[in-house]
Amino acid sequence: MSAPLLEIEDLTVQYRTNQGMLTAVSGASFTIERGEFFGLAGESGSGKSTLAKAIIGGLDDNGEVTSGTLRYRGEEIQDLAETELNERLRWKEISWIPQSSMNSLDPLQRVSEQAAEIGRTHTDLSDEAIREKLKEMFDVVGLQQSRIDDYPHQFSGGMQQRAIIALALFLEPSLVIADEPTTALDVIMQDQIFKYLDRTKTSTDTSLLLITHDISVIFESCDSVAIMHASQVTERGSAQAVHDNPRHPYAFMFKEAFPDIREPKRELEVIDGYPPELMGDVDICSFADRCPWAVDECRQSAPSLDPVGDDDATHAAACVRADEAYELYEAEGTDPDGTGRTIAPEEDD
Amino acid sequence: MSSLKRYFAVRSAQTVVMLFLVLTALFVLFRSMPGDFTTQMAAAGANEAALARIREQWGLNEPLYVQYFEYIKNLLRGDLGQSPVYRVDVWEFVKLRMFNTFILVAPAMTFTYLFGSVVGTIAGSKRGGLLERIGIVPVITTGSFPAFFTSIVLIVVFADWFNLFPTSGMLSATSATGLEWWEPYLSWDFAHHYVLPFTAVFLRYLFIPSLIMRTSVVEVMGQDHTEYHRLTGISPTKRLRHVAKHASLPVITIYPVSLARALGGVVLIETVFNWPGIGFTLVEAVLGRDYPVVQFVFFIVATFVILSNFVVDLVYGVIDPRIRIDD
Amino acid sequence: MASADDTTDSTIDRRSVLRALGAASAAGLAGCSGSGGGGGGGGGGDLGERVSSLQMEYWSDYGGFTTTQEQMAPIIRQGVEQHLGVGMEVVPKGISSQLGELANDQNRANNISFTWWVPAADRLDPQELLNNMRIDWAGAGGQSNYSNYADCEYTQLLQDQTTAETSEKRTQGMYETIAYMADDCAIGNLCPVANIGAWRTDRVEMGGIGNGGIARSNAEWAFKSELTEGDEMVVAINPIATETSNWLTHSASMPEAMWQHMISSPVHKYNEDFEIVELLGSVDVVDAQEVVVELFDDAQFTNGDPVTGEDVKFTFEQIKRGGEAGAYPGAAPVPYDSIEADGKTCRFTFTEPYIPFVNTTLMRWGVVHKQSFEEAGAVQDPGGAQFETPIVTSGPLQVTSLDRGQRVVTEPVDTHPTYSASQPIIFEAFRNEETIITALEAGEVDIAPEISPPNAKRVNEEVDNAKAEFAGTHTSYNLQYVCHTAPCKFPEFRKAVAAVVNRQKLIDVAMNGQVEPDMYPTYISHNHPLYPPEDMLYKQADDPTGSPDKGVSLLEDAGWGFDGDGNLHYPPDADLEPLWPQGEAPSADDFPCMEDLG
Ligand SMILES: Nc1ncnc2c1ncn2[C@@H]1O[C@H](COP(=O)(O)OP(=O)(O)O)[C@@H](O)[C@H]1O
Ligand code: SF4
Ligand SMILES: [Mg+2]
Repeated sequence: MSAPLLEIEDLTVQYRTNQGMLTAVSGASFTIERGEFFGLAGESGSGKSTLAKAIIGGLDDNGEVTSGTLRYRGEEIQDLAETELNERLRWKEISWIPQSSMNSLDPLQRVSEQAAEIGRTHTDLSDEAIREKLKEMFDVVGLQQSRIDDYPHQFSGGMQQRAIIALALFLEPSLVIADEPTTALDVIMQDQIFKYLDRTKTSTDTSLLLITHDISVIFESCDSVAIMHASQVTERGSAQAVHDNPRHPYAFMFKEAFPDIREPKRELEVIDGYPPELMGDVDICSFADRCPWAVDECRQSAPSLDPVGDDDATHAAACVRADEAYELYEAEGTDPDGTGRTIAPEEDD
Repeated sequence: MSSLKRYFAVRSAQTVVMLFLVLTALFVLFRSMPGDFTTQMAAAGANEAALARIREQWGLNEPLYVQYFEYIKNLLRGDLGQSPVYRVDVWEFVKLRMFNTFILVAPAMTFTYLFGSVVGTIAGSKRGGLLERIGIVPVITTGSFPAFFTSIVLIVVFADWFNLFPTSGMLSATSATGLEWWEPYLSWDFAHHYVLPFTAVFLRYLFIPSLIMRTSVVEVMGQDHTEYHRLTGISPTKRLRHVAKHASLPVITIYPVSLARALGGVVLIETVFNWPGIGFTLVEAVLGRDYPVVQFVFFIVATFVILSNFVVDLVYGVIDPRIRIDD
Repeated sequence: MASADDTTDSTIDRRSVLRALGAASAAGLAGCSGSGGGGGGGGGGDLGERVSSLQMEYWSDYGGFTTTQEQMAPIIRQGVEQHLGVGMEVVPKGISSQLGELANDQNRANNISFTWWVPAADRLDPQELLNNMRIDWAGAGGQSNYSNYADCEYTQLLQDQTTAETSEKRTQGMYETIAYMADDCAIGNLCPVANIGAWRTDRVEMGGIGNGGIARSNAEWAFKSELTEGDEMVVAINPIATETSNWLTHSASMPEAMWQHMISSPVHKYNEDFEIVELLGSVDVVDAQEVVVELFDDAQFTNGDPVTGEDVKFTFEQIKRGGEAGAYPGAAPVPYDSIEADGKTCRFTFTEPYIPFVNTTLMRWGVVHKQSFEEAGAVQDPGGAQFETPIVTSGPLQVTSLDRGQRVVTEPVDTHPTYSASQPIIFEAFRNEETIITALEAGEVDIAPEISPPNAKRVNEEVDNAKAEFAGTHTSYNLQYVCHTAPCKFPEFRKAVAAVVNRQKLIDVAMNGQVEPDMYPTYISHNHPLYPPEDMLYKQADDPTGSPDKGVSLLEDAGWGFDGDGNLHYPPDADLEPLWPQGEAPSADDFPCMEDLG
């Protein structure tokens, strides 16, 4: 069996800041198979975008992969030079739908020009062929073909996002990283895009790394999921397994924080506080300060991602109390000590 | 097309009104300074009776509004008048000087802006190296010296010590008589005289485009479309070209104004290098209350600023589709 | 204890001490330690209004002269404040603004104009400067009595000498006019304006400096100097002289002198030692109303045409025309009756005695070439005419090329009967004195006339092979009192100010100690050829360092006094009203002569 499309193993990413090294991703591990839709969830600031950018070597200048490996089709790519990334990986293999897709198109370029520039860089296609491909993709994302020569400012925000999606797809990459692609889209449009993505999944071998803070979207459309909290992957596994049998306190509380069409009457969970920003190596459970079941052990070392349940081979959680936490939650809710902690509604982006 | 026409019509009308206001403002401004052009003549020993006749002849005894209408009337007839001090037609008097200033300032400033844009781009894109980080320091340092100081240093070092260039002037006395007026400007002698003042203008003003470009590049580098360009995998050169294109917008905006300001601002450089430009003449004309000369030159500078803003708008439209006029 | 001739800046209040001495009161000494009681000039009851701070304006936009003034002004202020108990504010003003306001009586805040006058060649006759004190030019009429000095008797004397019957009588009349003004101390003198110039000693054998100095107002050096190296003598000038080939329209003295006296030649003029030399011919003052010019046989224009009586006649008719057309600012009205030419002779007759003609108009204007002027259309349009190079002129230098704003190139010709230049002279225009000195140092300039004292110092101390020389000229740095408002309307106050200034210090600080002070208030300097004998004149101070005691006693004798804090007060009965309302001229009621003068 050939290597998986993307393997992330024990990946740590840090940013140099004035206060010291800020750890944005700590010891993250998961695997994306060919044709798989993989969802990456977590609150804002948990390190999702950092992880995604690390995959295509797009970290900000002050960011750095400090340990761990990224393997694409079995080859280590975390140390590739910029030119190699450009020549071999970016867009040819992995494309990217940025989180802020409203501002990502160059306002001084026609969309077709930008596409031509990308196409010429990564393929031998003629300009005409590139235009054709772009037109097709415009069709797919619901834009008029005739508008490929428009400037970004001639599009509405939603249309720009679709154009960005078209640009991500038109060279038929193996992996599309979509960083919160739906933030600016209305619900109907979200549906349409996902339907298209679903269609490509069946017709081609395209994989998708879908990043969102809305885990319900993942449960609806992804095969697998990883949930991050403050740099750590707290739980991962098949969407089914994580949905039905969550083990990590953050995972189930986070999941319960979103409405679920399968349990329409449930009250929404609210997680107190904010994910911490972590300086230096992370050697605790980053959720400890917010976790109702935290014990001393949680702060002695970073819990390792250990397999949980028997529903799915990839299902794993990083919690010292992974065995019991969900039962406790089911039994007592989030107030195990009866301290009457207030549950303040928290807004996420 | 019709909206383009309308745009032009509106802009042209605006420009005419603006120029008229400038004319009026200049007229009032200079006439309200104490003394008139006979004052310095008197101090220099001109005869009171002759001056009285000069005042009469030039209408200085008339009420201001009469003088003003007279002035506008003459202008409309294309008559710029004479310098009452030198008795030479204003156009005749200023044309070569303005050209001399222009031939110094326009190429020097253009070169400065191009060069400064490169310096700013390198400094702003800070791709690591020491050069990128400290390259801007000498630029700022030379820019913060007064122009005459830079000029004097240039003269002392390159004209005096090394004797590479003449200390001053634009053409040697021995060069060129009886040629076409423009021929001397193509001579080696001119080039020889040109180097140091050109360098002085360059050193004096380089910091402006460099700093603006650097700030602008830093800002553009942080914008999402730059990151997007990078992650689409296009080559660094292409990427930098996109950045520079964006970042150049503020530089382009300021260029004509800066050029116009430099046209007036090189007076110190002209003075030290003894460059026969308009700057020194203008200062003398203001001090001597040579109204027709002063008003005309300021008017030209104002026109230059207004028109070049107009041109900048058009150039902007070419570069930035967001503000292009719909057609 | 301080003595009266103590010249150092003592820290004790010298004025208090001197006043005490003047009052012969030992108690005054106590006053200087601040008790403030007994020192005052006779007790509080006798004091009038306190004299408020003076304003002294100087010209802030006149290159090296401004620097000189800025070095002198604090010394003047120090003298007045320290010795007279009046504050002084020194205010910089552009020359056009300053003179414009005073000529129109628009500025009554100013009390003293600190001025200086270009040593123009034609000011070798004091007529023009003295006219600046005429009563009919005072007030708001825009005319040049910047002092607003209004005195009928003075004006009468001035006019009388103009129409004197003989040269001797005219000279005597001039002396009396000046002496009258000096008695009144209408204008204070400080020291002569220096003509300072520098030259390359290794390249030029300099001659003709004399009292005139290295300035274009003294044309002599252009003919009496010789290049020892190189082919062309490069003389650095400011650009004005290069601006027009129609040289009669110049109003600035130095450019005008260059054209009139170097490139053109008047019939006669003063040389560098202020002696009259005949250049193109002899001048015979037949009587007060008739002057005959007899041209030399070999007097020629640069093109070889002889200079004829007809040319001389044309010259002065043209000047009259140009003056009337408002084109030649230098043209003074002359009461011509007729000008007749006959061969080499030209006869001027006047409707009234007009002795000043020979030393003013006749000396000022170079003779022009009638034919060239007619061909250039100068008769119809005196202001608009321009002349093609080579320009036909009457001087020893011919203009072969004129680049506006850049240079005037001249070649020597041998057509002049009296002078000849030894080499071509290029008058190269510079915009800045520093640049001139740098060019002098680099050997690009041979002679740098009209430079300022600091640059003269720089040349002498720093530039090898170059030397700068000072010449005290015929004009002066003046304290031009504003005479129609208090306190300068009081002669005793003007005299007091004139007495306390330390002239020697001014000269040491600002003029490198190179000129002699002017001790008499004569408007012109003591170097002037028409300077009156000193025994006719009121003396400003007994000592070049100033006479503070004299200043104080002048005031006290006139009833002024000092309060306990040493502040000066007017006499109790002083009339502090201006001599006329602002915006008006002296009235015929107060000044009967205005009746006739209009
Ligand atoms: N360039 C950077 N420099 C310093 N800190 C950064 C930088 N980019 C992101 N971070 C920090 O890293 C953490 C993770 O950010 P990010 O990956 O953007 O999270 P998410 O995409 O999950 O919202 C946050 O605390 C954020 O503030
Ligand atoms: S129980 Fe401990 S390890 Fe588990 S989530 Fe809570 S704090 Fe973390
Ligand atoms: Mg993000």
